[in-house]
Formats: sequence, C-alpha cells, structure tokens
Amino acid sequence: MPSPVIKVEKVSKVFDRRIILDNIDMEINAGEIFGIIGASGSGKTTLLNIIIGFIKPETGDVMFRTEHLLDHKESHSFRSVFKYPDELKRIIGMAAQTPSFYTTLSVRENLDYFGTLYGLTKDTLKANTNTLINLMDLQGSEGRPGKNLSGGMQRRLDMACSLIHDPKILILDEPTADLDPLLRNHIWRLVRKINKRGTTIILASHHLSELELLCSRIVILKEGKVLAVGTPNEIKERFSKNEEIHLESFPGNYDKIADIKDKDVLKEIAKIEDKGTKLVIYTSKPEIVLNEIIKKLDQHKETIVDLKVTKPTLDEIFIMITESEKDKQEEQDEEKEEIKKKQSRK
Amino acid sequence: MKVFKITTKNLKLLLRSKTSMFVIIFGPLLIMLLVGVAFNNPSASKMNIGYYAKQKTNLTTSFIQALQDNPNFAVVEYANEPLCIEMIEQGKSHICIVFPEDFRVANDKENEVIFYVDQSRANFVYAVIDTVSTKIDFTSSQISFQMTNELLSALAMAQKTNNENIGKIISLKAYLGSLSTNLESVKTKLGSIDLTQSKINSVQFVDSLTLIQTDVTNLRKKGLDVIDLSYDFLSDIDDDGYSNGNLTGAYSASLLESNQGINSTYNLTSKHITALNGLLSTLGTDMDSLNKRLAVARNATIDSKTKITDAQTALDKVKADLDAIKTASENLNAHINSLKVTSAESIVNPIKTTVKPINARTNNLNFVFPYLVILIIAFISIMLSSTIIIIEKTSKAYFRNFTTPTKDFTFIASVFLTSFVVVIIQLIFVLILAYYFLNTSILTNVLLTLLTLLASLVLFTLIGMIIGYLFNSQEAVTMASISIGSVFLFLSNLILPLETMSSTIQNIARYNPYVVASELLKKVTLFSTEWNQLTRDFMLLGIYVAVALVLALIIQKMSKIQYISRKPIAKQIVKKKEEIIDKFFKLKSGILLRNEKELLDELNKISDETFSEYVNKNKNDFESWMLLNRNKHLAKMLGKCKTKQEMIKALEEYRKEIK
Repeated sequence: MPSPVIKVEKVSKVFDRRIILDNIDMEINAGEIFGIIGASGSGKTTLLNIIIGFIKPETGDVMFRTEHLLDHKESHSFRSVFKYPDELKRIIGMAAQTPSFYTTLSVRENLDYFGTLYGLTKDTLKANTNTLINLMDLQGSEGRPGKNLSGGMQRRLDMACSLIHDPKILILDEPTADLDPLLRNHIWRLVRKINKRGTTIILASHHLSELELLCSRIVILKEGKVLAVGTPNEIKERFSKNEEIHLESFPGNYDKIADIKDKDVLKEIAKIEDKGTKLVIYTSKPEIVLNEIIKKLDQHKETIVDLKVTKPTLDEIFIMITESEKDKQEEQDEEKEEIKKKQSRK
Repeated sequence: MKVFKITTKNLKLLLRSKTSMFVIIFGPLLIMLLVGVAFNNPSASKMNIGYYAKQKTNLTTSFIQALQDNPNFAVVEYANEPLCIEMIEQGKSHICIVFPEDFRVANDKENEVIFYVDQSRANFVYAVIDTVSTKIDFTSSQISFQMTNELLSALAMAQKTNNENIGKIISLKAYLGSLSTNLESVKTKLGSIDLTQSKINSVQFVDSLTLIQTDVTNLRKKGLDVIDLSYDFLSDIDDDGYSNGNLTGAYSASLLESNQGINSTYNLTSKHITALNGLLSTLGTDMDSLNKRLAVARNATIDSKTKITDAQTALDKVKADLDAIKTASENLNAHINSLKVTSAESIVNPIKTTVKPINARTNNLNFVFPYLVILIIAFISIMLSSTIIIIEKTSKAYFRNFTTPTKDFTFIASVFLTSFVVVIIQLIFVLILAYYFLNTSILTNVLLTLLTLLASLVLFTLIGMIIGYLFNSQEAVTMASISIGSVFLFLSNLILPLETMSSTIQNIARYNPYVVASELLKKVTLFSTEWNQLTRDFMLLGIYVAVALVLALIIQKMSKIQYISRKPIAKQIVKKKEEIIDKFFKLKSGILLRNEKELLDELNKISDETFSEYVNKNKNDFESWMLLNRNKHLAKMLGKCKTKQEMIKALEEYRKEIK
C-alpha cells in the first residue's frame, strides 16, 4: 500500500487574473519518482513552487508528512507546507530549472555553505559532502569554482546542493534542460541512484520518453489542470488502446499499402500515418491488421526492411491527449460560431 | 553560526570579484588621498582679481593698493568693463571689480563698487566675494575712520565752546539777578518816597494870622482895657484915698510900661504878622510850586516804577531765556557726554571681527574631516550593502537560499554584518591615515567619536540594504545608491552652504541623515562637545536607524515575495480595495473575474458577441455566478439585463449603491 508523503489538495493558483493551476489534486508516495509533465506554461513550475511552500495558492493546501513520522502511516502526521515551512525545508530539497549555486565558490564551498544553512553538524556536513561528491561524480573538482564547471557538472553540483541535507523528498524542475543526450542520461542515472537511496523524487520535465522509463507515476498537466495521473502504463492504457505497427519496406509505396479495402480490417484501424520513410498504423488488433498488410506487401511486391509492433510512447500519448483536448475546444468553438450565426440570422 | 557562514560567504564573493574588491578596498583610500591633497593646505589659493576704473581717483588708488598689498591676490587692470567680465568667463579672473567713475567721498554721493563673479563656480564664488569684499570693506572703513575722526574733533570743540558759554550764561544770570535785586531795591525805595502834596494852605495861614492879628488886637485892646481899668482903679484908689502914692505911682508906671509894652508888642507883633503874612504868602506860592513838583515827581516815580517793573519782567524773561539756553547747552553736553563710544575706530568698526580658529588645527582638512569621514561611510556603506544584496539577488544561488530553513532576519543580519565588517576595516585604515599623516583629531573624544561613526555606519548600511532589496538590477541599485548619496550630499554644507538654500530646503536638509551624522561628528571631534549636548542628535540618529531597520525588514520581505511570485513591490504596497469573493468566474478567454468590479471592467472590453456567449435568451451566466456567491440583489439586477450596455449600467448602479 503506497504511503503518501505529499498531498496536493484542491490547489488553485491565479496570476494576473489567469488561472495557472485549477483545482489540482494529487498525492506523491514515499520512495517513488513522480513525474510532472506538461507543455510550457502548463503550470509545472508553479505547482513545484507551491509544493515547496514558496507560493501560496488562492485555494487548497499542500500537506507533507512530518520528518519524524515519515516511516509511519498516521494520517494526522500531515502538516501544511505553508504553516510549517522550516520543517518542510528540512525534509525537502529542490533543484530549479537553472542551477542554483554560487559560481565564484568552489564545489566544496557551495556544499559547505548550503549544508550550514540546513543546520548540519560539522561531521555530518563533511560526511554528506564527501558522499555527494562521489555520488555526483564530482571527484577532483571539489576545489573548482562553480563557474569553471561544465554544464553537466554544474547540474550535478546543483543536485548535490539540493541533497546536502539528505532530504527525504527531492524536487527536480527540468533537471536535463539544455543538456545533450549523453549528459541527460548521466543525470537520469543519478536520479535513479538517488531514488534507490530512498529519496522520493518529484520531477518536472518535458522529455516525456525519458520520464516514461524513469518515473513510477506521472501526472499530465494542461493549462493548469490535471489531465491524467498514474503509472506510465496506466496512462497509456487509459488513453490509448492501440498498438503501433511500424513498417519500413522497399520501394516504399506506402500509399498503396495503406489502401486497405477490407471493412473488417478497416474498422480495427484507428489511424494510418505515412511518415515518408515508414508507415505507422495504429490499431487495437495488430494481428488482424498485420495479416492484411503482409498480403498488401506481397501484392505490391514490397520487400520488408523493418517491421515492429510497439505500444505508443508517452510523447505520443501526451500529444494525443492534448490534441484531443484541443479538438474538444475546437468543437466548442464551432458550436459557439453556430450559435452566433443563428443569432445573427434572427 | 549561520550568520557567520553567510557573512563569510558574502566576503568571499566580494573578494573574488576583482572589480568590487578594487572599489571596496581602494575606493575610500583613494578618496582620502585625493581629498587630503586637496584640502591639506593651510592657506587659501591665489586669486586673480581683475578691475576696471574709468577714472582713477585717490580713493580708487587706495582701494587698488589695498588689494595689491594682499599677497594672495593677483590684481590686473583691464581697459574696459566687458573685457574685465570676459576674463571671468575665460576663467582667467575670479572676480572683476568695477570702480565708479568719480570715486570720492562726498555728501549725497553714492559710491557703488560692482563685483562681477561667475555664479556657476558655486561655493568658490562665495569665498572670492567674501575675501575681496572684506579687503574692500577694510579700506572703506579706513576712510570712514578719518571722516569720523574729523567729525568727532568738531564735536569735541563744540562741546568745549558750549561749556564756556554755559559759564558765561551762569555769570550773566548772576549779574542779571543782582540787577534785578537792585531794581527791586530802587523800586522799593521809589515806593517809600512820600511825594504826597502838602496840605498846608497859605490862606488858612493868612486867616490864622488874621485871627492872630485880631486876637493880638483884641489882646492889646483887652490889655489896654485892663490897663485903663487899672488906671481907673488906681484913680479910684487915689480917689478913695487908698492910694499909696508911691505904690500907685509905681503901679501906674508899670501900667504905663505895660501899656507901652503892649503897644510895642502889638506893633511888633503886627509887624511880625505882616512879615509872616508876607512869608506865608511866599510860602503858599512856594508850596504850590512844591506841590506841583511833587506831583511831577510822583508821576515820574510811578512811571519809573512801571518801567522798573517792565525792566524786571524783561530781566526775568532774559533769565528764563538764559536758563533755556543753559539747559539746552547742558542737554547738548549731556548728549555729547552720553556718547559712550567716542573713539572713531569704535564707531567705524563697532564690532571688531577677528577670525580665529576655534581649535588649534592647522590645515583645512581638519575642518572637512568629519564631513569627509561621514561621506566615506555613507557612500561606501550604501554602495557596499546594496551591492552585496544585488550580488545575492542576481546570483544563481539566490533561489536556493530560500529552500533552506533559514530565517529572513539571518540573511539581513549577514548582509549587514558583511558590510559592517568591510566598512569598519576601511574606516580603521582611514582613521589611522588621518591620525598619523593628516594630523587630525580623533582621539579627543574617543567614545563619542566611535559611537557617532558606528551609528552612521549602521544607518547608511541599512539605507543601502533598503536600496538593494528595492531594486532588481545592478544598474538600478548603482543609480539609486549614487542618487541617494548625491541627494544627501547636495542637501548638506559640503557643496553649498545650507544657508544659501530656501528655508523649506534648509528645514528638510537639517534632517538629512548625512548632515545629522557629519555635524555630530564635527561637534565630537572638533569641539569635544559633551554627551548631554548631543543627546538630541544621537536620538535622531537612533530614530533613523530604527526606521531604516523596519523598512529594510519590510522591503526584504516584499523583495522575496517579488522574487518568488513575480509580484512587484509596488503592487504589494497597493492595498487591495476590492473584495475578493470565494468563487471566481472564468471567462472563455481564460481571464478570471473575482468580483463585480472586474466583471464591469471586462464588460467594457468585450464585444457584444462575446457577451452573448454568457448572456442570451437561454442563460445568464453572470446572474448564476452572483447567485453562487449569494449576492441575490446583484444577481437579480444582472438577471434583468439582456444586453451588455444594460449590464454595465446595472453594475455601475450597484457599485454606487454599495459605496
């Protein structure tokens, strides 16, 4: 049974009379990597700032389980992040989008400084610093000023600063922003390592495919609203029953292959996309569709270069969900237009 | 512990920034050096004085000579007034003096000496005017001295003559008094002369003489009768025989003799009476004559007495006039004597001004030292504390500080401590330099000096912190710091004397923290003023510190809110007047309406078509919204509205009602 460490309860936030977060409800469980995904401006950072108690919402509250009771399950152990900010800050660490450390101080000086601000004893601080330097692969750079570190190292130093007080919860806001794929992988590996140490991680990112592999659960935000919460597979299941058939053939006359006449097969196909170099068919019955496709390949003398059947990625699900929302909106707009036209006729 | 850690970090950040380190460490020393060189000069600089005199009189020459005698003046004559003025414009002269054409001392003659100065040279011009006009005034005083001396001599002479006259008046008065007495005596004597006419009447004498004659005649007759009778008697006796012949004969002879005697006496008496009568007649004539003369004399006496009285009256008047003259003269003397100042020098220069330094300092730096030290404290404290804050605020790590369980006050205290430590170190340097190399007095009143310096340091550091928290960029902070510092500087005695400013500005400037602090330090270091005379100033500084601290705390809080929630400080200060209601109305455009005011504002912006999306024959969303918020009255008003204009009007009416 998962035990929540953070409860976001009916949180709404308004900036300049615009709803940034609209009645957000969710729970983050102990030990999980919880991903928050959403397009730019969807309210991810605002939500994280509310969770850490920086921004007070217009409505709702964020509760956290107190440090000394984190390993127990009493419901009354939850406290509001806005009423007990210092207590929250002792159990939570946060790395913002932009690395947050003193660029003229060295790695060790930064860790030493922030450790002191968390009230760590000298011994604990020393131990934690050494552990984090090793954990974050910063050995040999302890004496280098922050500004002289590479982008990846700066990001790791930032995470180290967030972890110096050994928090139970770590919030990472776009930790891989502006990093190349290799550095991103490095960061994700570190996130896993940190999580394995027992730290609950709340992660906001737009690298959905990477989050899919990393996160225990995710929440999808759109325009301040929660569109979905659950494990990546749960979300995929909920929003897409289809699987994807990816076909690459030679000479690649995909229009002819896609020209399926059989009604029984057609009704099983959700969508066919000719992507130029390959054909992607979305279907809930891939075995039926594959039979028909193979027939078509024979018929048009196409040679299979690559053929695979996959589940849709989180990226695709996200696009699908947001587009379906967009479609709904467009439908609503069309309805409005209709009403207007009717009114103008009258 | 945290405070010291943050302070150490701040110091490291400062020291690792080469430019800030240079400015912070060397800035004050550089200022000190420059100001020291500039002010460490016991004498004033040489002044170039131009003059133009169309006609040189003795007076003009004496003035010019007086100016030339001053070794600090370089006096140059110019051919005309415009050239003289032009030299000021070119910076070759500090002042141009134009002497009047007929420059001499005479009655009803105004001698106006015109000074042309370059007012743009601000405080220097006052020094030039002051120095030159002092010299001119001195020469002018010398002329006045001579004239006053002459005037005083004339006055002394007049007093002497007056005194002599008073003596003469006194003797004249005495003489007149004696004369008056004599006249009175004469008058008395004239009054005592009896010039009454004789009442002797010659006729009466004649009558009396006639009566005497008659009586004498009668007496002779009676005598003769008696004699006759005696004869008869004798005859009878003889006849009767009783006679004694001898006796009778003797008796008869006696009778005869008596008879003869009577007749002879009678004759003689008649003769005498006649003579007497004649005499009486003469006497009568004489008496008449005498009476006439007496009458004349009496009249003359009366006339004389009248004239004597008139003379006395005249004398009295003369005496009164003399008295008046004497009194006037005495008054004049009294007035002259009442002149307490009878020395020409004292009249020309009743107040002798000798400018003496109130302490024994020898160079100008000593006088500007308090202003300079406070200036360094003010600028460095403001710049440094604001810079530390802006370094922190613009630092990547600013955000992370908020994620730590550290109180805001700890950060404020750390910034303060960092700035405090740096400025204290600089101040120690400055004071050591000042003490050993500039020979300034800082040890005369050590405790109060330190207290003043610390109070100033605290105050200006807090002001800098307010600026740092208030602005969000290094440029804004620098501009604000320089602006604040400049305002402090301009509203002080350092650039222009406060007395040259308007009274309003003067009143404001007296409360300028820089003025308060620098004046306080001046009193402490230069005048060694005691604590009990400085309590007001210290109290004022204390109030400033308290206010600045409260402001720093408030603005730091606002600055933090601004950083996290992007809510500008100005918006945080503005009090929300409109009531925020529980349930918002979200327009399809994404705009959120929180109250009827925002609905009204938005209705004024949206089109009728957009309005119809919310209010049409099927629904009235705004009415429903108000019902949801339990404002039945407004809901009813809005429910009646079918068009946007109607709803705007209804909302305006409602707002009037609730006001």
